[in-house]
Amino acid sequence: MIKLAVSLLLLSCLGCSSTSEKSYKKTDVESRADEYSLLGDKFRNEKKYQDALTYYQTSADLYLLKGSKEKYLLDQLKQCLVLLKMEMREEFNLLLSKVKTFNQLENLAMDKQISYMEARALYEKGNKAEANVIIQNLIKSYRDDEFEQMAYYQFFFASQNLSLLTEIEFRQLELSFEEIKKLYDSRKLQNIELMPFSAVTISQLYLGKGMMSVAFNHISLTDKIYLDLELTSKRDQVLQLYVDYYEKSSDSARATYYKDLLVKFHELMSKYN
Amino acid sequence: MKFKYQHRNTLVPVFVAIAVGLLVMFITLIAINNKLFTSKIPFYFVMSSAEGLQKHPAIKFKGLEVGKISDFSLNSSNNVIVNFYIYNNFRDKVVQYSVLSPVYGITGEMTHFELVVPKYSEKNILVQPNELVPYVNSELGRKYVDDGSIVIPEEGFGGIMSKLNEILEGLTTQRTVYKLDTTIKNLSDVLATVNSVLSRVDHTIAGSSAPEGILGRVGGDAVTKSMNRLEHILGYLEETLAVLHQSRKEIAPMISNLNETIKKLNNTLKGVNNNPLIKGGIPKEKKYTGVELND
Repeated sequence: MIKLAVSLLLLSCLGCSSTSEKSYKKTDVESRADEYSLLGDKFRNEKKYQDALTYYQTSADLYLLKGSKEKYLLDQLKQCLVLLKMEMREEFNLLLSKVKTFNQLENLAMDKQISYMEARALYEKGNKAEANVIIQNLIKSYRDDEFEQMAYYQFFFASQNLSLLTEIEFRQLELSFEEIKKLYDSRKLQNIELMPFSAVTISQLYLGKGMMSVAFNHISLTDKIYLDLELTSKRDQVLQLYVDYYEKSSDSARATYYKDLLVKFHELMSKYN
Repeated sequence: MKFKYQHRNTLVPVFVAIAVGLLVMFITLIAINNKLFTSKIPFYFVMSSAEGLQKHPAIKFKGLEVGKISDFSLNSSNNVIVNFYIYNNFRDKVVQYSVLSPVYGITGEMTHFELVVPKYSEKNILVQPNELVPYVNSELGRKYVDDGSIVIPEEGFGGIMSKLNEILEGLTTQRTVYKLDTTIKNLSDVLATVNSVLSRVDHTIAGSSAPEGILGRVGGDAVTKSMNRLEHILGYLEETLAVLHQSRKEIAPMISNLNETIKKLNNTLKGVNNNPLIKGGIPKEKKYTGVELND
C-alpha cells in the first residue's frame, strides 16, 4: 500500500517537473512592440488621442523592424481610426492608402480590416448606404466561424442605423448580446471592447423601441460594465443613456440631474485628462 | 541506551535558580537601560499641536539624552500641555531662558527635542520643578530668540538645513548618472524636507516680532546656504523632470513589461499549486488582435 502511494507521488512529481523543449525563437522586440500597442489602446480608451497615435507609431516601427507585417498593419489601422476620431481626414486618407499598398504588395489577408476602415470613413462623410453595404458584407464574411467579429459588425451596423433595423435583425442582436454576455461572464470573451460597445448599443435600441424596463436593466448593466472596466473617460456614454431614459420617461427632475452630471463630467475631463 | 539522572533533586533547583537569576538580571538591565532607577525632575511646556509626540520623543542636550516626554494633554484653550522630565544628573542644565526646540529627521518627522540653554553663567537661575520651560515657537520662546537670550544651535534648526545640504549635494552628484529610481526616491525625500523646513521657516518668521535678520540668528549660515542651494535644486529638478519626460516612452513599457513578468510568475505559481494531473495547469493568456474597437 505504501509502495503504491509512493509510486503515485513520484508519478505526480514527474508530471510537474516536465520541461518544455528548447526554443531558439526570440520575442523581445515583438513583446516591446506589443506593450507599446497596448499603451496605444489604453490612451485611445482614455481619449488621449495624440498619445495613442505616438504609441501606435512606436509599436508599428518596432513591428516593421522585426518584420511582423500583420501586426504592423494592425497598428497602422488603429492609427487610422484615431485619425478619424481626431477629424484629421487628409492624414487618414494618406495612411489608409499606404496601408492598402502594403497589404497588396505583401499579400497579407487584411482586406476585411481595411474595408472596415473605409466604411468608417464613408459614415463620417455621410455616405451611409455605401458604408452599410461594406458592413453587411463583413457580417456575412465572419458568420461561420468568428462569432466575436460578426457580433461586433452586427452591433456596429445597428449603431449606425438605430431606427432602421428590421425585427429579424433586432432579434439577432438580442441573441448575439446574450452570447457576448455569456462569454464575458465566463471570462472567455477575447475582444473585451465588444462588451461595452454592444451594451451601449443594445440599450439605445431598447430605448428607441420604447421598451423602458428592459432598457433600464441594460443601462444599469452598461453602467456596471463601464465601472468594472474603468472606462472612466467614456462614462459620458452611460450618462447620456440615463438622460435619454429619463427624458423618455418624462422624469424631468432626474433627466436634469443626469444632464448636470454630464456637464460636470466634461468639466472634469478637461481638468484631468 | 538509557540515560539515568543521578542528581535529579539537586540539578533541577540549580537550573531553576539559574533561570530565575537570568530573568532578574535581564529585568534589572532593562530597567537600568530605561533609567527606571534614575530620579527625574518634572517640567512642562505648551505647544499648539501634539503631532510627533505619540512616540514620547527624548529630550537631548548636545547629543546626550537628558530627559523624555512623559505625557501630554489638551487644556481648555485647546493648547497641548506637554509634561516631560529631566534626569537628576542633568537637572542643573534647565535654567531660565532655556527652551525646547523640535528636531526633525530627513523625512520631516520629529525625532527628538533639543534643550537649548543660554550661555553658561554662574548667575543662571534654575527653573523649579513642575514649572514651564517654553517651547521655541511659543510667544515666550520666540521672545527669547528675538532678544538674543538664546541662539538655536545647528542640531536644532540649522541641523535640518545641514541635512538638506547633504541631500542636495548628493543629488547634484547624480546629475551625470541618470539613476532614475534613486533620484526619484531622493527627490521625494528632499521635497518632504524642503516642505517641512520651509513651513517652519515661515512659521518662525511670521511669529517673530523682529523678522529682520532672523535667518542669521536662528540657523546661522546654514539657512542662507540652504536657501541658495534650493534655488539651484529647482533648476536641477526642472532638468530631471525634463529627462523623465523624455524617457517616459521608455519607462512606461518597462513598467508594463514588469507587470507582465509578474503576471507570468503568478501563472507559474498557479501551475505549481495546481498539480497538472488534477487541474488544467497554467491558464493560457489570450490577447485580442483586431480593429473591432469600442470607438
